[in-house]
Amino acid sequence: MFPSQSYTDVIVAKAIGIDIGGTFIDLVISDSSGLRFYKFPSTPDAPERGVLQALERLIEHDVLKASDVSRIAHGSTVATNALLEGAWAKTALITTRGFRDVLEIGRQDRSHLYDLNVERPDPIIPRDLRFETSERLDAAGQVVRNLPAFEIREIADRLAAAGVEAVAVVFLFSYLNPEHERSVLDLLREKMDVPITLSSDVLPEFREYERSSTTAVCASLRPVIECYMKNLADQSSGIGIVPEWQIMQSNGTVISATQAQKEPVRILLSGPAAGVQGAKTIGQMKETPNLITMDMGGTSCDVALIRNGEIGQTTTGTVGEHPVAVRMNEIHTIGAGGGSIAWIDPGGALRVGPKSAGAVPGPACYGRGGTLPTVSDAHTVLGHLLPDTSLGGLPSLDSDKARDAIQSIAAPLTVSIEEAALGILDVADAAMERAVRVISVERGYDPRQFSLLAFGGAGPLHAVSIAQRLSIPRVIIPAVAGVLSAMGLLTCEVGRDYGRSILRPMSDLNSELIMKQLSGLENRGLQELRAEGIEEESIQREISADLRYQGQSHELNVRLTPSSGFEISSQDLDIWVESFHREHEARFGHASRNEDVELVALRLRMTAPPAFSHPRMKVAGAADERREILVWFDSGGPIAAQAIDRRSLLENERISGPAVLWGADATLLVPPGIEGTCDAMGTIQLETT
Amino acid sequence: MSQKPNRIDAITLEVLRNAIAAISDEMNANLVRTSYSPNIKERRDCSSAVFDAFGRMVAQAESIPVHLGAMPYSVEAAIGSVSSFSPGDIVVLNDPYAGGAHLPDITFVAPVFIEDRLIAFVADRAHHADVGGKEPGSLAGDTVEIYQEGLRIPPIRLWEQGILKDDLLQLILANVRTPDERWGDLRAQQAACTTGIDRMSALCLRVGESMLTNAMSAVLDYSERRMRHQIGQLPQGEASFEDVLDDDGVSEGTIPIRVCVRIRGDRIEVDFSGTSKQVRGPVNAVFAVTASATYFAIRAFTDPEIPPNSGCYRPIEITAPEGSIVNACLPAPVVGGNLETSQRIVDVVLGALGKLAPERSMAACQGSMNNLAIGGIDPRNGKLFTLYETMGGGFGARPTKDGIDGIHSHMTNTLNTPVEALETSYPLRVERYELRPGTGGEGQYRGGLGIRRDMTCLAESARVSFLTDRRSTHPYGIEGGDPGALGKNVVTRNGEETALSSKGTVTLQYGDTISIQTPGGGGFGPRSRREKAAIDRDLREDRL
Repeated sequence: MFPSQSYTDVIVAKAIGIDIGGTFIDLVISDSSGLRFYKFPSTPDAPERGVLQALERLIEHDVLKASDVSRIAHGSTVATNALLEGAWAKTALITTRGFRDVLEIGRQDRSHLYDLNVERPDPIIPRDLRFETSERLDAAGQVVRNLPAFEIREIADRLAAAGVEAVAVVFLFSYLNPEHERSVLDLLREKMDVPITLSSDVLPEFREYERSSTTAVCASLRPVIECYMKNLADQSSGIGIVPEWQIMQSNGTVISATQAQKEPVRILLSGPAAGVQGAKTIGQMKETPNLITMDMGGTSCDVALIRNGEIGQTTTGTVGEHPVAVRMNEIHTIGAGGGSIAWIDPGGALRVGPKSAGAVPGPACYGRGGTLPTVSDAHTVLGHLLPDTSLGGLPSLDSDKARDAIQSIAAPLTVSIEEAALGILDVADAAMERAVRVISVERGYDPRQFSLLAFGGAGPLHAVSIAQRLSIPRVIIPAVAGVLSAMGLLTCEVGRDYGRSILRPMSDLNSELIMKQLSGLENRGLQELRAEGIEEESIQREISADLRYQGQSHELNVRLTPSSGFEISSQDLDIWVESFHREHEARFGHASRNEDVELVALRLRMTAPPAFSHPRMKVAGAADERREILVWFDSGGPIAAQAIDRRSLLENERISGPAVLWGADATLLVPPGIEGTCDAMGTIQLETT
Repeated sequence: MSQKPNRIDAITLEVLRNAIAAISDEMNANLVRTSYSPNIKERRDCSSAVFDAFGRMVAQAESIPVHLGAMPYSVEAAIGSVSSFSPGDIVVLNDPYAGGAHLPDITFVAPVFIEDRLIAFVADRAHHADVGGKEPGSLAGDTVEIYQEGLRIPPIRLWEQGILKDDLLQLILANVRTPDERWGDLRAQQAACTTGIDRMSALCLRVGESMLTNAMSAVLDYSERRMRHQIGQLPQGEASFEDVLDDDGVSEGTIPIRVCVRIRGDRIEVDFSGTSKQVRGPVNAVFAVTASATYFAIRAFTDPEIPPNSGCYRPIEITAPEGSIVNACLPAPVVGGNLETSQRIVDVVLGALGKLAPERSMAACQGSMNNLAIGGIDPRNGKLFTLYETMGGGFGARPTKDGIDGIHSHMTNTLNTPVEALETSYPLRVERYELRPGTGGEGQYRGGLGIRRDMTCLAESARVSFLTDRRSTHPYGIEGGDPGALGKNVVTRNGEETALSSKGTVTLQYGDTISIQTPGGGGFGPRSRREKAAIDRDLREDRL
């Protein structure tokens, strides 16, 4: 355990946010006195064990009293890992005759164009467990062939004989008419007792491959996640923690464990989503609605875009090459982190990553046996990281080992160690700049109209450099930069996203028809949110639609705010269409106002605010004294810079580079000529132009 | 490392290489984003590239391999046709006999100026859904000269000093079936060029003109070094390989394609002498297509991670006899050269390379894109419809693993249309979309399975054009592996099946079913060496 400070007063009503990563478990405790954060090693073989051990130690050390915990939320990669490692349950598929290979053929494309050794991941459900039945619906949802009950009973016997642990049911056009899928559910339930997942429940939307994949992922993870959640609940109630665990979903809202385990497909991006959510909260507090977020840790860098206070969302995500078409925060990941290894390729270019030294052995400067040169080693030899302060839970850094490692790059290039280190950072920054371009300029957004919010252990070290490369005028670093994901768990809403394919031109639709569909979605939402103990009055509804010009095959999601409450008028429909034209023009450079607009899908997001107001962001604790150190910013040689413990910054204090603003969780590098301020919450803002 | 780069280069090289590659990426993203037609927007049949002032390609962003390395020919043609460029000029072309590949691919080339000095070029290419000619979609399978295939555009300045030449534009739009859509896509291509020009200018201001010029040269040298390093690791020697196309769509008889590959130190010679003369039907390839397919094969065989640019191709010397099917002359029709012949060129080059380095070799993939176009009147709304699809098939087996079942290979990678989208938009019912058990060539490692897609016509009638191959000649197996199974095109009317040829057009009546069954991939190694577990799994999963 590496507490940010010693802490003895126990104050009641504590909310706990826990982000379980591959290397560390970040834990934030929030109460009326502020935020405290802790890092513990994670236990990837059984993630819940590490979490329980962490809580037990906090209780043992009297930092926490179990009965004071009023809320406990976590972000977890448990579902993602199970999917990536193939640790899913033995699952069967029942589908329309002639289509059992849809799940395997996919969209018939390969993931690497030029790799003759390319592979396609094994389908989650093997061919011998994919069963066909004679039912068929047409493109209007009308029955072409009835569902023969005897076939399903026969299949049920075979499923039982094969010992399947979960079943997915996907029929063509079931998003228009779920009757056949529901009949299968009833027929199977007569014969077996395993979780059965219907595509018309998980994703009532067109495109059979994406719906099949999403349903198969969901079905196959249910037994895994049920088991995980049960262990977590049993063990935490064993140490006296009463509230039900919440978990972060990929869409940036939390939900109770009970709900989550029914549709684990919604928690696949649980970890990264929490970080962006934390960034959004900081943006709200800074009244900065347009943010590019950059979360750089040990092995990778996640970038995302927040526009007008809203996190970019996608329904075309994939996890381990499996499409998962539920709504999720849009996050772009590249293999650049503090542990990324520098090397010289056969063409003589200096490269950084994607290989990483990971947590074990880690960068050479960790002194755990690593000898390969990494980004963190480069920072260490340049004086960006202070050897005598802790980093990522280490008591100190070994700068001699870092120098030795960087020497292995410097020697073949015949440059000094520092020049090699600067080169490594330059190359790493170039890769990150490209990642930010992907989510901004390539999507039609100008980075100059955004602020860069950097977090994660290594994000603040690179923030100013990345901002300058992209002419981003402002950099924002939260007080809890290294553990922002854990904090995001406490500030996000409780909620769910619902959707339904419509696929009809707007000219064919009226407000009554749309309200009927929306009410269907709303009823399900009310049911699920009531089960979360949420009062109906506090529920917010956000309506949007996926619209496109008829004949196009890509959609734009457009928000609609009805003129009166949750009631759509025909005028609102016109506004909707006009907003689509405008959004199309803004994103794609042209609009066709005389073309028919098609309503592809209706979406409803229902949320309730978190159970308490924003926590105080400022990190508590006594600060170390400031001192002067020597730091390399460019090849001109080391210059004197102030080393400042971030906790010592005062409200409105002016910050001037050159400076190194360090903390136990993350270090911010402020080059010469860069200025900024710190606010009451400890958030730092730097101007970069 | 054949030569040691200087020390600053190692770092600046990687930083500027990234910066220039980001520019071609951004151009291409912009092109996809602002285009009108599904073919560019969804299937991403387009690419963008940055060139130095001499017309050497420095970076390319391509979404499908068939554009790989073909654009330098366009830039060369543009430079050759314009005596003196001015800022704001954009050259447009599609003529396969003057820098193009086939008529639907229209290429834009624009100079980048700093003050009055030309420092670079940017270019982009997109596959347009129609450029005129005898059939909608400009992909007719029975043409005998290029004049039937659509509008030929030699390198012309469609924009001169930033001004659009409207008379030329009207001439183009008057010769295509969907002028509004064409203009939308052409504008997207222009916008992508503008993005490229802006970004290159900004980069030049940031790092300085001489640094940028040096960096572009250094990037070319870098890719060249990496390619030479890779070739140097291949065994010295030469190997020949021959394969055939089923037919040319208008006459009988197989069409041989022959290659001899020679590894000479850190260079490769690829010689197509002995290949068939150009043919009457539309399966002729111009040299740029042959180069593209050859580059694909070598890149895939060596190191796919080498940044694709002109430097990368310096150690590769291609000889293709003039007037042959791999270097066709006017007025041969060429639309299928890009689609089907390019696949066979890859098959022979990989076949020859595989003889030299069997540990990296692979059996033939399905060897066809299975192009299918269906048109008619939708009874639900009385409107004309046209569906264009390509279909995956079996991937060839590799030295350590089976080929993939039901997937696109080599020169294409475009997505299928979902069944639910297809039936919603077209009067067709998909009866099945499934793997074809038993079609993978057997061996120690099995070739991938083909795909079968059956569609029933729900319109009164519909015209179906198909441009396919490997219907009478098998994808080869290697090292003792069996060949992959043939593909089949079949029409069923009132329960009676009629087999179709590999290329042609038929009319379907209401209730008729067309079945496109794609070829399997070839096997690797003798089947006696196949592991029992693999056989058991195939039996259990009904793949044999």
